[in-house]
Amino acid sequence: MKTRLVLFLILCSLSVFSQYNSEFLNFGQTGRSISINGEYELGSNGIYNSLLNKFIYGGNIDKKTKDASNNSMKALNVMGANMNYDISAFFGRNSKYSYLIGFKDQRIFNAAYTKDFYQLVFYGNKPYLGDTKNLAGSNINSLRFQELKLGFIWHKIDTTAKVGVSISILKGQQLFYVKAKEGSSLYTNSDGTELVFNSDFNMALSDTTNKNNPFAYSGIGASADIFFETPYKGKLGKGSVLTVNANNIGFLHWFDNSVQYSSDSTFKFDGYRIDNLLDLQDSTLSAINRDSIIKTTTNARKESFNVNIPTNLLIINKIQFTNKFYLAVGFRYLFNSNFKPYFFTDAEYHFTPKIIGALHVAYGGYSKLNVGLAFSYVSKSWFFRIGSNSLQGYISPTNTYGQGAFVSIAKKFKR
Amino acid sequence: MRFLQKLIIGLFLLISVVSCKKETTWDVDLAIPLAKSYLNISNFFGDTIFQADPNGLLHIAFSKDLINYTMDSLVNLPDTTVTLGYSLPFSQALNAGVVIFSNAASTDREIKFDVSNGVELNKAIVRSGYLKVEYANTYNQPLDFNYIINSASLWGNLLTINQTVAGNSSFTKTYPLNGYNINLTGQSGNKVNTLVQTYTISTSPSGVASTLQPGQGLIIKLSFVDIVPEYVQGYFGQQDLSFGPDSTSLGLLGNFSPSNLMLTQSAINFRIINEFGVEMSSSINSMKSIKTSPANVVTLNAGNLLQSINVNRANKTNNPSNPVFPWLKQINVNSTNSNLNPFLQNLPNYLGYSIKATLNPLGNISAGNDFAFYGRGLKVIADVDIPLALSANYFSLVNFSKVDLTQLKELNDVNSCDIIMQTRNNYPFRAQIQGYMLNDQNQIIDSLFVPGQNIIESAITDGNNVVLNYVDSKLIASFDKTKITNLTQCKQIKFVSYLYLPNQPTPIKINEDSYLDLVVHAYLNYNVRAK
Repeated sequence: MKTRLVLFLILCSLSVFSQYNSEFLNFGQTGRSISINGEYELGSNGIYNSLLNKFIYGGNIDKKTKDASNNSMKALNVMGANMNYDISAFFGRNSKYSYLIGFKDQRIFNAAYTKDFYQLVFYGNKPYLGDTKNLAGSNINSLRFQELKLGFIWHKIDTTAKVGVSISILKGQQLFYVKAKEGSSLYTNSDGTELVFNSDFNMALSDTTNKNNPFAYSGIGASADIFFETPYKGKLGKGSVLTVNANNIGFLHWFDNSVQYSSDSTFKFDGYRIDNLLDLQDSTLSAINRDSIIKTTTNARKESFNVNIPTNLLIINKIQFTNKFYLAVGFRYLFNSNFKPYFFTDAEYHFTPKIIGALHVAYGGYSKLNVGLAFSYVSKSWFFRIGSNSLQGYISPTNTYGQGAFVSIAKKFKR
Repeated sequence: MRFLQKLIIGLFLLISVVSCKKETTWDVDLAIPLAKSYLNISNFFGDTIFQADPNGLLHIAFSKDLINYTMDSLVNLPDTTVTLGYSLPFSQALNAGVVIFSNAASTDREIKFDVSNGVELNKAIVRSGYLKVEYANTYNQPLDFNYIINSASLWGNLLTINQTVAGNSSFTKTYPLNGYNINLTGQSGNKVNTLVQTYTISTSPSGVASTLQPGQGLIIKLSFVDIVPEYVQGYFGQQDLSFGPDSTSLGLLGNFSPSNLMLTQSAINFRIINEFGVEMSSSINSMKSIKTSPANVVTLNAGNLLQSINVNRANKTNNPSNPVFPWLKQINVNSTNSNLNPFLQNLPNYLGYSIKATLNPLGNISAGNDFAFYGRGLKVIADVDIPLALSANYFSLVNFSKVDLTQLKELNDVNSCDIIMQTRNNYPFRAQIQGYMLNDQNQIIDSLFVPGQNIIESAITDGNNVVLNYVDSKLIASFDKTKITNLTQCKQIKFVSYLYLPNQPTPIKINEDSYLDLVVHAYLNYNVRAK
């Protein structure tokens, strides 16, 4: 009975760890319930939070803000953001398993960028007259899609282990993908009269006509989530739990109106040829058009294609040391993205049976060092959680990387 | 259920807050190549009237039609109507299928066209036109009308009409005459403007015997309408033709204004081209150089060069696709045999002229074999040639360029901009350029260049104004936010350029290989916006 109690407490506290984009992680705490969850994380190992905040809250990025990141970044850097919100429910009458149904909106953005790319984007090319700016290795991958999720969790395997599986139908809303390959660069000559663009890149866009419309139906796909959790008795502490979760295992098929661009040529642009100085209307000005430049410099084609969505892998090992203190170590990785291996540890303290606090320390991912806090309130009918794995972004945005937050509210069903 | 509602509302509120994020902006400094050009003199004037001579010297060379007098003006077959028919003042019993009238012995065998100006035609080929026939049968039985134009044939077949006109009916029909060859010499073969017709009127075999009452019968109204000849032949008479006084717009160099222009030489070659088969005597009585602003007229004085010009007749080639071998006379008027330099230095907008011609001054010496083909005629063309070896204090050029930057939304995000024009000038003149932005009321709202930064320096020349080497210059047009706003509101730009010539009055020569290289690029501070 005592062992069962210990294991129960461990399972309850596991779900304090969040921001991992999985409904199954919460189940131990909420049981059968209906919940809304929202989370976002944003980070870069080259751009400080003060600059990233401008992309979240808006506002003007001044020179000082740009310089701060520019002066500290490496030659090649990464950046990423995930933003999800969902409404989901676990339900059922069987004591061994429960069903899952949910709707989720996901935005997944990740990028790699050279320092030269950053400088061109934020300073322009004029400060670099006579220089060749290296773009090789830079890429941007931005996805937005919605999913309808159906699954179940088998929560009485061998009395304590859990296995959860879900499949989702995905509705693709928006894709933007560009990758600059080896040799890509931009040269501006010494007086700005000539640009030489070594363009070895691929680019893909979903149907651009309604990219901001959340009901846009630009693609379709499928994905699966797998969750496994088992308690075991280790050498340390009173007991341990191993959790493995993989979600977003899937793909999106973008429809025929999607556009792909590719280019592996060198473009030298030294101005549009004009034959009549006094007739700017038809020749020069109309040619200075962003769309026409893209069309004339790339091999653009409309066609359907598939992309894999970034798959999230999470492994957590949690050890109970006392009735109130737990320590977990974990590993997280996002395949098909620029996410770096993310190692973390969570120290959890139960202030009361209903109030739990956790300290999160991690390194890796899109940013560097992360420090976070989370608090949970667990009652018989309700479950609340709020927290962040990257509090440093709010405390000192001018010299830290990464930020994030998560919140969950669940109304438990009566048993 | 209330909880679920609250959840959904809360979710949407959260989405709304996230969606209402302010714009993210930052400034970048861009260096952008805009345009390049290799400008020759045509690009300055927006004209294609420049030609190089074998020595490479450019000439203003263009042709202007003064007269283009074609056959339809010279000879015209007027619409002509005749009325035929048969009726009696008394009643007559008629059987079906019998001829009741034939014009074989009557006086209406011929139709004569009333051709003006004493023109006497003996032959015509119709290009287009038709015969309109209005039928009216007041007899109660059908009547047959058989009509033949004996003078009109097509591929050997005479123009023939067989028409049954139902009893007590009337209607109109048209018959095309295209391609018909018409002999206009009448029955005797020695008349002019006259064709021959034959017709009969019969009771139709499809009718029955009946009685033709007094006044009843068949009335036919024949009209030759809109006849356009392909070819006419005969004697065209001793017509006096007069062209003008009139003027023709030159439409050249209207944007060009010199100060103290002096041409070194010039020429106008008058080409008189006669494609009519008729002799003429003509005179170009008056040629005027008319400038409207400021108003000034210079009359060409070329002595008797343009008077009493005998114009011989053209000949036939017997090639239907190119049937005329024209007669050509050229009269060269130049700066040595006339006052042509002052005439052209006036930079006319219009050429005024008065020309007279007399046909067949010696009478009908062709014995009725004058001819004319459709589209062919008498032309007088002035070929103007002005070598660009000239002197002047300066030239001013005014050009208007329509601008519509409303589609260029990116302009709104430009904080400031310098448009830099790098030039390499190989012309022996210095250019000062200014562009004035005009709104939709044609009012000046701003200018492009700061005075002093809008000079293209002249190429290096020797004392004879021969270009020794090019010279590079840089022009800068600076735009702040206000000027950019004005640019977006601008509907057209008025370019005013002054070209200053060195070492005056020594003439300069504009050669074929003269050039002005232009590279335009921009430095701009741009406000990037991201949502």
